Amino acid sequence: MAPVTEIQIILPRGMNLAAHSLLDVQNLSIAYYSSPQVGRDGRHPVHRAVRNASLKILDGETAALVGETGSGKSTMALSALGLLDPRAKIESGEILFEGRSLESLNEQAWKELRSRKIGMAFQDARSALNPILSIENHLIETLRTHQPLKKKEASEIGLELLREVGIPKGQEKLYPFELSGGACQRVGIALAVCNSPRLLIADEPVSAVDVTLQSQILDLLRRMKQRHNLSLLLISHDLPLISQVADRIYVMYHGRIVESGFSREIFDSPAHPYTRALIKTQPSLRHHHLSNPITAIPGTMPVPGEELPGCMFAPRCHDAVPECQSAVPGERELSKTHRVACIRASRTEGDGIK
Amino acid sequence: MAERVVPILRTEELCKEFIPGGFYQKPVRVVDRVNVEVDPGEIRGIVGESGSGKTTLARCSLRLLEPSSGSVYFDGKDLAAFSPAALRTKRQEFQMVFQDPYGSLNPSMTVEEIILEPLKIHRIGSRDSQKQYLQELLDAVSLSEHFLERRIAELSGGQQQRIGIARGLALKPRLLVADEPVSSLDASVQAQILNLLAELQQKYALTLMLISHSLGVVHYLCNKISVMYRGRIVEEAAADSFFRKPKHPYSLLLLHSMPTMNTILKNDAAPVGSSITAPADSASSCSFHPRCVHAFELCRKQTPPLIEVEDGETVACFLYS
Repeated sequence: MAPVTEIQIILPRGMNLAAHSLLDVQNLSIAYYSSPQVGRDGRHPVHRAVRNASLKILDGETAALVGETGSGKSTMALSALGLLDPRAKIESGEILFEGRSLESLNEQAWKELRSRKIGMAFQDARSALNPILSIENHLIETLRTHQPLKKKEASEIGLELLREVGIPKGQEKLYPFELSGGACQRVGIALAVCNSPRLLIADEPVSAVDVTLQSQILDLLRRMKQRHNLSLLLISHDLPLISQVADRIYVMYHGRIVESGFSREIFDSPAHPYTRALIKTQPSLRHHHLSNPITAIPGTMPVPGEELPGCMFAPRCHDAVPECQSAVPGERELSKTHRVACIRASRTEGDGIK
Repeated sequence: MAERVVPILRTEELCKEFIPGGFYQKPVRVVDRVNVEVDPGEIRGIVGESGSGKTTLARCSLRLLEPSSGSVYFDGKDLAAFSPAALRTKRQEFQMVFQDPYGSLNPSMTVEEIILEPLKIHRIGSRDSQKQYLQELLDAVSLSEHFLERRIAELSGGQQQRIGIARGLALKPRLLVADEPVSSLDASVQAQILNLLAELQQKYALTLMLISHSLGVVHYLCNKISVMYRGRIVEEAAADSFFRKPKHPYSLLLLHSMPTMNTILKNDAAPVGSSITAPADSASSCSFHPRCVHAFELCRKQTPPLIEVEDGETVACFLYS
């Protein structure tokens, strides 16, 4: 799979990269409209969850959308599936899949897209499963909804897939409540890929599983990607963890993509102060409260609906200057693939974590 | 031999069983014959995966849950021997900060009421002195005064956790148990809370018991580590020797599972042990053996006892006996 991304790097700029991109989100803005009772003080009837965000997933690539609670990462992913909350509205921008706009799709076309083109593995795997259907029946149902298969055929395909994701023989008759969290996650992945989509979106695939199983689930995702010729979009709040599998990373903060680039670029030279802080403030074995304390980011994420005239991260930023408060920073190109939305950003080599 | 300090908290063969409802009536032993000793001033980390019994151990140790068997000694005194009234007074000395700050704080109370409630329950101080003390507590957890009139739902996760900590500190406890204090918080505020706990521990000379599934968190704060697996303590050691040389295969697995920045997963990098295994019967075998690459005949037949292998380091594994 890796060669695909490498070919992309050496493509001269200006060449039609869109021809190779599977999912292409361009300048997307999404707002949630709430009823006046929901807005606490009535001053913020609209909450802009995604602001002018662009994201591109190339064929065969593993991309990761990283951000904290409320940064808009799930909203962005759901918009590509047509699964947005009814209160959410796409204000501007475009979503292209295989070069075609998704704007005017009807319900039938959305259904087709969701199964045969884009698969989704949901965050809370157990509650995404039907408690009164056995694992086997989940797969049979999902397969037969989208493909003209006999029950027996669907069952065979389903069982093979379950073996592939590591559910041992005999466990297909079990119900979701009889399985561990990790096993439910595996079933969720099997369901997402059973109709052979081209893109698999996994929302927080490992945040609900134990540390000892996280790398196994990530490893499974990578194997499935290779075997089924998939592209992956992983949504996560855990930058260090997701960097283990992602080719390309998009960092989101309060609805904006603040930095994007190849995993290597982001880790060897994180340019946005927020990305840098995310990497450096994770407690790891290098840190100790006495010998090597972590310099925490002060303050908290802006609350949903909060609007600032300038950079959203400026109030918490150690490097902020007065200009940061006055205008939204535009995207700057640090390399052909590495982009950052920060006026103070400079490419400081070796500033990452070695 | 130097005289041993009296541990602030000691459990002896502590067990807790729950009887699940429904069709399964067989009790499940969540904490299984646990002996821990926490010395004054120590920062003890308890690590393990979900369901390993960390929280139940903490709750039993503070008698928020009645243990099924075994005893808990606070300052060398058996907590079971206290009358309910005496236990309530004793509670001032050990407090807990709960895992989910939003779920553990009363949504209909203001922040001021929440923090002052322990003082009211224990009838400490006059109204005026309470107000003054409130200010001190807010300063200690770095919250400004204008939060006092708000309710929990209006605050961010980090602020809620600060209030949980302020409430835990209100009675000036000697032992503070923090159950996953940062796991529900966003990455960018986790470090704030960890630094706050470190600062408070020094300022108030607290004994801290920190429950976490994250070795990074435990490494950052703790000076002694207990590793739990399926209700039992499988390894216990001083933090520096634990992180230098973990002994139990499960501890190794935990350490190997830590995400590190520059390890891009290789195809062959699958960690030791498999995931989907039925729990082994801990009464007659090592509960980790189905996942252990070193498991041999004895591991399937007997439960390994917790034995001292080096000075102050104990491991429950037949590889070391």
